[in-house]
Order: sequence, then structure tokens, then C-alpha cells
Amino acid sequence: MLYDNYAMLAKRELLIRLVKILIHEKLVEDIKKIPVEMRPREKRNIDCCVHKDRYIIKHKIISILGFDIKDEDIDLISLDTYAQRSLDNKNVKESILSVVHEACSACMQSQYFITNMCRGCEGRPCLMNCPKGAVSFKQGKAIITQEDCVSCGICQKVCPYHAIIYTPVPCEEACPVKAITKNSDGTENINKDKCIYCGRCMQACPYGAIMERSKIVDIHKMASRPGVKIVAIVAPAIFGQFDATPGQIITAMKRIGFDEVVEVALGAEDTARHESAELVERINKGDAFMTSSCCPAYTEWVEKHAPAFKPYVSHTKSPMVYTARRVKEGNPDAQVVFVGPCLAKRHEADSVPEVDYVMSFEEVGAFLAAYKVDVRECEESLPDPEVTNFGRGFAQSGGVKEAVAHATGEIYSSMCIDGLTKQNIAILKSMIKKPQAQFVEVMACPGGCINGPSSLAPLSLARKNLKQAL
Amino acid sequence: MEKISLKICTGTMCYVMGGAELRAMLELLPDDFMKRLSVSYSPCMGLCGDVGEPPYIQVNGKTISGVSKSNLMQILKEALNDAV
Ligand code: SF4
Ligand code: SF4
Ligand code: FES
Repeated sequence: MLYDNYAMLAKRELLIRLVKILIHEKLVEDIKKIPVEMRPREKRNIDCCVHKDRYIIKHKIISILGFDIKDEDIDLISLDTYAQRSLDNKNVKESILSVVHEACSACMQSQYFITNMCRGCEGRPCLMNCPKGAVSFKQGKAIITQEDCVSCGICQKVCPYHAIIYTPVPCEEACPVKAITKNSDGTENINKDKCIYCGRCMQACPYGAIMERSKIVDIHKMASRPGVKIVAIVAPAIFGQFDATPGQIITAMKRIGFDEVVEVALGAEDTARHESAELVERINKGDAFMTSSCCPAYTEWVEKHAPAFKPYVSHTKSPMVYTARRVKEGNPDAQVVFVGPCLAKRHEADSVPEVDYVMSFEEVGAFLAAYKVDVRECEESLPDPEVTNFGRGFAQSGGVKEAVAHATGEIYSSMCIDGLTKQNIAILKSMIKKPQAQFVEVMACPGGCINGPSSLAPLSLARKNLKQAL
Repeated sequence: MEKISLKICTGTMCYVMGGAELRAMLELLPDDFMKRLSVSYSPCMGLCGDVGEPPYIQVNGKTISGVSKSNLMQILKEALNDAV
């Protein structure tokens, strides 16, 4: 879930400053000024000193530009060299997500911990109820021997003074598939064989230490190249991001350099149509149920963690793919940029030839701010009359379900898995033995795409904005 | 009683840098509080040139930077107290 916090604002400021120098053709020249401008001497330092703060910003910049930071090179190579390299397109084998080790505070291993609220009461239920004998008393206060503790949490539940707290590792806690774990030095590492690119760790880290790679440099390069037609295909969730009309948002996208803006809602209607036909066919052939396939974090989860689920996943392509195809059919040379709130789409797009780049809503925000485009002041563009609310409805959980139900004449039972949380994963897995509905929509983000990891607006506001657009 | 004028910047820089919910927040204020405010919204106030410290608001014409959901209430209370 997205909450305002300073780490998030720092990431946005970083993007805004990068885009500013990018559009003024001063990337190489001015990039080294960013850490100093963002962490001037007179500002309160966040880490131990202003130098460490600037060093962290440098690392975050390198990570945004798409370079892996693996060795000591980073201290030998200056930011302007990295900037030049990204302009020259030399960051091809980058990872989608990386942990900026300098920023990771190597949070304490998660543990139960007895605070000084402990009164050493006569009852001592912590001592009596710990199944592992990990609680003992020293000078009248309870302590936990960490080697014996199995983190069952019983002591916390039974303490009448709420004296026992649980200190989590936020990113590990957020990850639904245990893909992020500690290195021997305490910093975090993402296991690519397990990661489903849901992006939850990125939102959860209070140090903003987990960064997604960005294609802003390439996108800007394409947008400014004469003769190249660059088309933004925007996910319907974009209408939840701003307090403005869909027509104004489409205009705003054009102001930041796109020649044309096409709604992914259009492709969503294709998805709904194909998926409905597939559902009818599969049920007729005797299948118990079928799940949606438009959320790439979900399909990645099936691929990496639940292969037994594969036969149940629809083969229909995602709205992004259909929309990109429509654009490329009309204009094979166009550069297609998918614009959305989703980290997993970056991964999906890597294997879809029709999509050239992916841009996040946060990056859109940075371009709008840098170009000084006020969305609410933009004039109305005429939205595509072919788009219906069923297509735009894909932005929220329940939307795919509704569109498919509509297209199949509401004859099949359906349900929605709203978020790949640990609980919902258990429900999903139980379905192979005990199906609960014939059509199952699965969204990795609770609430659906409007709650995606790279959103600008918090969920409640996004819901409100989207409602006005529908 | 004189009303307090509150002007909220809805420009993109302010919106992106933490001001997105300021507008929605006003809906949560009690009625007698709202009665004493005259609220308006402004496109970019032109204060964010070098990023600066968005989000910005103006209370009775005075510019205030770095507004958040947590300090907006305090800012308004102080303005109301000054007014009596
Ligand atoms: S939340 Fe994870 S990535 Fe962030 S500082 Fe803690 S351990 Fe490091
Ligand atoms: S992106 Fe999702 S799956 Fe990958 S490490 Fe982060 S939380 Fe885990
Ligand atoms: S956007 Fe608020 S001052 Fe510019």
C-alpha cells in the first residue's frame, strides 16, 4: 500500500531532477550536481553525514539509469560517465529491480523483542507459555534468547502490558514469495529465480533502497528524434492518478512528447472478448475453471511457484499486447511505450516485441513536473469513442471479472482474487482440488492496478478519481 | 467574522511531491472549521522552479512550503487563532 513518506518523495524528486536535465540536454553536464542539490550541507542529514547521503543518491541514480552495481567500479566511474553510457545505450543487460546496498540499512533480522514496558509481573505468562523455553528473567525483566526463539509470537499475545514487540524486515515481510533475503553482511538480495516482480518490496522499504530501472533516457531520446513516431499506450489506471478528466490526461501525455496516446482499455476489450470465448470453450470441454492472465506478476507466480496451475491459466494475451499490436499494425515503425503503475509489466514487455519501452506513472509525474504541465489546466482531447467502461474497468480488481461476465452473458460463476497476499495464495492453491468458481480473476496488487507499485495517487484517492472518469 | 483564505496549489510538482491528498483532506474537516475558510485552488503558483520545497499553499496570501497532511491542520488552526 502506498503511504506518503519521505523516501518515496526523494525517489520522485530524483526522477524530476533527472528529467529536468534530460529535457534541457544537460544530462551529462549536470548529473553530478544532483546529489549536492538534493542534500545540501545546511539540510539535516539522513544517514551519518552529508557525504553518505550524497553517495546513496549517486547509487540510486546509477540504478535508475539501469546499471547493475556489483563491484567497486562505482567509486572509480563518475556519474557523467554513467550518464553518457546510458545515452549511448550501454546498459542493455540491466536487472529490472535492484537493491542499492549503500541505502539498505541492513535492518535487524526479524525478531520478537521485549521492551522496557515489561514490568516483570507475577503472572509471567511469557515465561510459562513459550513452547521453546526461550524466555528467561534477568534483574526482574523478561529477555528472549534469540537462538532459541522460533518467532511463534505467543509471548507477545499473552503479555498483558503489550511489552513485547515484533521488529520486521519490511521488504521481506512484504514479499509474498520469499524472494528477498539477507546476504551475509545483512543487506538484502533478490533471488531472480523466485521474484515475480510484484514490486511490493520496493514500496515497503523505508529507505527507498529497492529501485526499479528506468527507461526515461531512451524514451526521451526517441521522443526528440525527428521523424520517429512515439506512441504512449496508457493503462486505464492512469485515470485514477490525477484529479482531472480523461481528455485532459491524454492531452497532458501529448505535452510531454508523445505523438499519439492510445488507451490500453481498447486492448482490454480485445482481452475480454478472447478470454470469454476461451472460457466457453474450456468449460464445454470439461475444465473446472479458468483464471485470467492479464496480470504479469500473477502469471510469473504460476511460472515460478505454482506450475500445477498452468493448465488453468487463460492463454489470452494481456491488454498491453493487444493494444500495442493495434498500434503497430497501423504503423509498424512507431515506438510504443506502455505507461502504467506496474513493475511486472517491465518484465512482460521484455518478451513482447510489440512493446518498445515501459514508463511508470511516477516517471510520467516527473516529466509533467519538469515540463511544467498542469494536468488540470490542459484542454480536453477527444477520447477514443470505441473505448467503453468495461475496458477502463480493468484498472480495478473486479473489472476483468465484470467484463468477462458481460461478454459471456453472466452464465458462469466467477470470483476475484484481490491481491497475491499470503492468504490469497493459499486460497488459490486449494482451488485445484476444490474449485470455487468457473472464472477466477487474479490481481497481484490488492485493489488492482490502481494500487500498483509505481502509482502516484494513494489507493483511496485513485478510486475516487477513477470513479469520476468511468 | 473575516474568513481565512486558503489557496492550494494543484500544479503537478506540488501534486507529485506529497500534495495529492490535500484537497481530499479538506473534506474531512468539521463544518464549523470549513465555514471559516474560503478555499480556492491554483494552478502552479510558480514557486517550484528549482523544485524548492513543494507542496505549496497560501494562507491569507502568505506562502507556506512543505505542507503535508499532518501539518495542514496546524497551519490552519494557527491562522484561525491569529484571526480572532
Ligand atoms: S527494508 Fe530491506 S532493503 Fe530496506 S533497508 Fe531494510 S533490509 Fe534493507
Ligand atoms: S518484487 Fe515482489 S516477488 Fe520480487 S522480491 Fe520484491 S516483493 Fe518479492
Ligand atoms: S506546482 Fe505548485 S508551485 Fe509549481
